Amino acid sequence: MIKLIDVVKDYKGDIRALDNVSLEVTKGEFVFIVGPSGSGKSTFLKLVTKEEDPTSGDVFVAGKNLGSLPRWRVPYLRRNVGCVFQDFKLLPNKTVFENVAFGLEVIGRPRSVVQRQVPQILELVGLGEKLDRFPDELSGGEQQRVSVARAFVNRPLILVADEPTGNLDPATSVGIMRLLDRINKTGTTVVMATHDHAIVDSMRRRVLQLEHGKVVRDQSRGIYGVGT
Amino acid sequence: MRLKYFFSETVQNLRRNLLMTIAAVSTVAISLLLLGGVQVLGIMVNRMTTDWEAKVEVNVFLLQDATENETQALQTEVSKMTEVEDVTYVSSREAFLEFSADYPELATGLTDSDLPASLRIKLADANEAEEVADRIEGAPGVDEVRFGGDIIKRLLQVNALLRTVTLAMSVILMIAAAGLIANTIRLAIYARRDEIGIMKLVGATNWFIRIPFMLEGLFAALVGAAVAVVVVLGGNWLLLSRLPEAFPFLAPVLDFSSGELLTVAGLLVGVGGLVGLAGSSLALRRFLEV
Repeated sequence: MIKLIDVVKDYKGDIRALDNVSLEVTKGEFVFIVGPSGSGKSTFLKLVTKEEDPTSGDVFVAGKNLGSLPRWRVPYLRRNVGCVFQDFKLLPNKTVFENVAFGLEVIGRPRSVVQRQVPQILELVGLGEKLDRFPDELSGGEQQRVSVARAFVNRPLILVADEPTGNLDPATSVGIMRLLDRINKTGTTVVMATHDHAIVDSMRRRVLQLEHGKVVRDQSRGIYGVGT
Repeated sequence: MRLKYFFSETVQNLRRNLLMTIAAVSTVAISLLLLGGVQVLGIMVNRMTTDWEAKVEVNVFLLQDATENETQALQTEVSKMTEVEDVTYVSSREAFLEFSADYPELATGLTDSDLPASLRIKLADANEAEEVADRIEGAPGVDEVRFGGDIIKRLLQVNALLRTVTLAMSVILMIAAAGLIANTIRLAIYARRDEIGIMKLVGATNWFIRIPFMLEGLFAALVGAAVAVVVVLGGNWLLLSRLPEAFPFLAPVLDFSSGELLTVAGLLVGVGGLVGLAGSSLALRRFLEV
């Protein structure tokens, strides 16, 4: 589903974010990317959504080489990759329903589909009663649920989450993880970058540890790791 | 469905960002108003200079003893020149009658034959006066050729300068208007960059993102242009078209045809709409790169 071959990513000023990374994530996997700040976690996720291009090496997503993907195809790639962020990225002037519907409308889904799917997905994330609230009327956990709903409403093949629990307390985080786990069980590949030891240790899923842009550990059913 | 989405998105955004909409509309209106003012000024200058230049003529005074044949030949030859629009023969008697009508007190004591017969030449382009005069000079039967000389040359220079200045002003104002409008749109878009970022992340195509913004830009620009047109036409109707009642000599300069006014209105709407569209899509370009 995701494959990196000898990927190097340098940012301006000779900052090497990823250093010769090769890895593969297969369909339906749930993968944690762990490591300290600046180890390259976010860069990895941005390569998958083609927000960044590698300096050298190849990135394959859903069987396509992103290096040879023309610019105008990028939006179609992103429809297959849902994104969840630490800061939710909800539109403050739209209601919960509108925020999720937005994700479908801007890819041109007909109104009938929007009217049917949005309440369904909001029910799934446990916000079926709060369709007409605005984001600032919700708790952090609820906002993140909306954001997950928006990322998943289009049934993407892959869901990438960049520190989705970074702004949430542990109890709320557990709720979000249950949600991601359910999404994973529908066959969606989930890749999640995190700092959160407790979550990684309790889920016991594949762990990829990055340090200074290199993969230093790749362990199935792993824990956050020792010494970090 | 798409059209409906674009339309409702546009209306919704214009309403939700009312202040930005008002700012954009008034910026467009003011810039285009200036442009329209200069256009009207340009028409006035053009009227004035054309009026002056139409009065420029070359007078060929004939010798007293010029024969009928010489006069005929000269008139035929002159009327064949491409620069010449019209040639009229003015006999001594006609010249005398004209003169005594214009200056009765000076005409006493003069007779029919005291004034020379002449050819009056109207030109297609006043700039050719000197050249035409030079060519006729010295032809058989010709005594003297006059075309107003330096005064005409000076007048033509002033006219050319006036035209250049009004043209330059309208070009500069057009660029300024474009810049102002584009900048206002950019501010409006900057305020909503998060929205654009999210649209990109969920996989909206660039055109899908662009169209509502461009429609908003177009709408704001067209409303602004309409305001400017109303003010220009209203100003003309209230003020300029009434001036000739008090100052009849201004009539040829101020009496605009509806065609001229329509041209100005069309220019304002055209420039406004174009700049609104181009400005918003240019301003968007930066935010679409991700």
